[in-house]
Amino acid sequence: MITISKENEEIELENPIEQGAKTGKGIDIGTTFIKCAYKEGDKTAFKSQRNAFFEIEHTDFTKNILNKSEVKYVVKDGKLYVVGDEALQFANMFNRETRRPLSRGVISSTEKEALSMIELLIKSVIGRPDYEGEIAYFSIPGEPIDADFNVIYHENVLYGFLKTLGYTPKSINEAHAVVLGELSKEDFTGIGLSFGGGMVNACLSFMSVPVFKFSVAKSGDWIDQQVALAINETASRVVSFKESSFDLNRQEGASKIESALSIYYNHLIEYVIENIKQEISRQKRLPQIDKPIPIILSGGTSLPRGFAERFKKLLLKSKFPLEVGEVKMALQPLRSVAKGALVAASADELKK
Amino acid sequence: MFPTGTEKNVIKVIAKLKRATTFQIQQEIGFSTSYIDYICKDLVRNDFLVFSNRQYSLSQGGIQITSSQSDKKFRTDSNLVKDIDKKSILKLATQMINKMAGDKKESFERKEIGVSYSPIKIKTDFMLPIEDETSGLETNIHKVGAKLEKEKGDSLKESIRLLKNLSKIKEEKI
Repeated sequence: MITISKENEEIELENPIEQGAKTGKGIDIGTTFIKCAYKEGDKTAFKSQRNAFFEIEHTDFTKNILNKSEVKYVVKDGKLYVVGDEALQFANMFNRETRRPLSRGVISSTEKEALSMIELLIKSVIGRPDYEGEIAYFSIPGEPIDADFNVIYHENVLYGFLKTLGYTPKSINEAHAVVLGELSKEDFTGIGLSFGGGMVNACLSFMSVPVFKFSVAKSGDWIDQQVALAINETASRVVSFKESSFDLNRQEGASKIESALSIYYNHLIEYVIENIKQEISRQKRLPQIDKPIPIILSGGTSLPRGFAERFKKLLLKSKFPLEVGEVKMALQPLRSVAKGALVAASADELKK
Repeated sequence: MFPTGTEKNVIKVIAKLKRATTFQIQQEIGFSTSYIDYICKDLVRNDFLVFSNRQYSLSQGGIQITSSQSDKKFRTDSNLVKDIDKKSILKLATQMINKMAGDKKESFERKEIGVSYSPIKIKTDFMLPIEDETSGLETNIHKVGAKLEKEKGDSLKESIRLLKNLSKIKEEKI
């Protein structure tokens, strides 16, 4: 039995950084993954956990097996939960769904274990501050334009939690973080898109200043659920397939699940492009941008092969109101948000 | 569920044609027939359309969407009518006053009171008291640890420096 103790935390939470360098940390708190970026000498380190858990039968025997096979678990109110990546494997084994602390980008209102699970997972990736008042930028989604909820509660809870850990927390819009993480060569000017699990976040940034930012409450989870409904599968199985071998380029001889995924991906991309167009038309004043605007694609839902090609194709069809330059995938789409949050934290630390 | 832009366009086309096949809708809107077919099926599932004899028509939900749009239009028109009425009443009243005052023509200057609306900004130092819900939990999460990846090279250095400089310029401007 391992109980969280001060000693354990101190051992685990040590993050070796350059002597004397104060670089802060960036944390991407997403519906599917929680990822923390920090500097380790001249390297950038990323610690991540899958934001999911799954209840299994609670016996000492099961716990021993889990310990031996290094499967993460937590016991709460007499119930045993497998946490992280393995939760998805267990869910598939039992042909059921995983439980998720976040839903549509924010703390789930229907999951009663949401707060304790999210705290545990955040703590396990970010640890304690390396120095007093260390700045931690955490990602929050933009206000959703197609759903009746806001992100105030979510932001406040995460702020309070990081503050309790000893950090100086600051929030950053998820898509804005993508721009800071990926578009430095373009002077942080362009459209950042984060196709996450619960939401798609979009931000048009000009010289690092957001012109507009918003989110839509449809993304990877929505695709999984719709495909699962269409072909009578569990969403967890759809996720496993999507993450392992789905290819958007494949058209001939596609299986039922591939066809369904392809249809829903098309719908999602078109939906996002239409909403960006609408947001541009709503702007009373847009900055004068001399060069064509680059678009950077990131997030777990953008991982399937052929995603960027499909996006470009639909963008061309859409009569986009701005001149678009390069449309590119982030080099590491799952790291963009955390990386951008780290850039913001380090720049703030330098200003201190 | 609220219909999206393309979905609203589909509803509008069906409202115009009363009953329409996928092909007819595709002719009006564009996109591929399979995509239109997919949107229509989704709208049927969400109770905006009804499908029978290979044709789509509006359900009660779809009719409500179109009527809410035409209501808006009607409201705007009636406002316009009211506005015109106000103007003609004012003109008539001025003429009557002038007549009553005889030859003594007095002009009234109308003063406009400017009302400016600025967005309300909420600043609060309220901090939610957060309890550590994880203390005392039995777990091996810290022992097993999180997945760790490292990126070689210091590609972020330039980004950090650039962002710092840009924020400095911003602050100076302010």
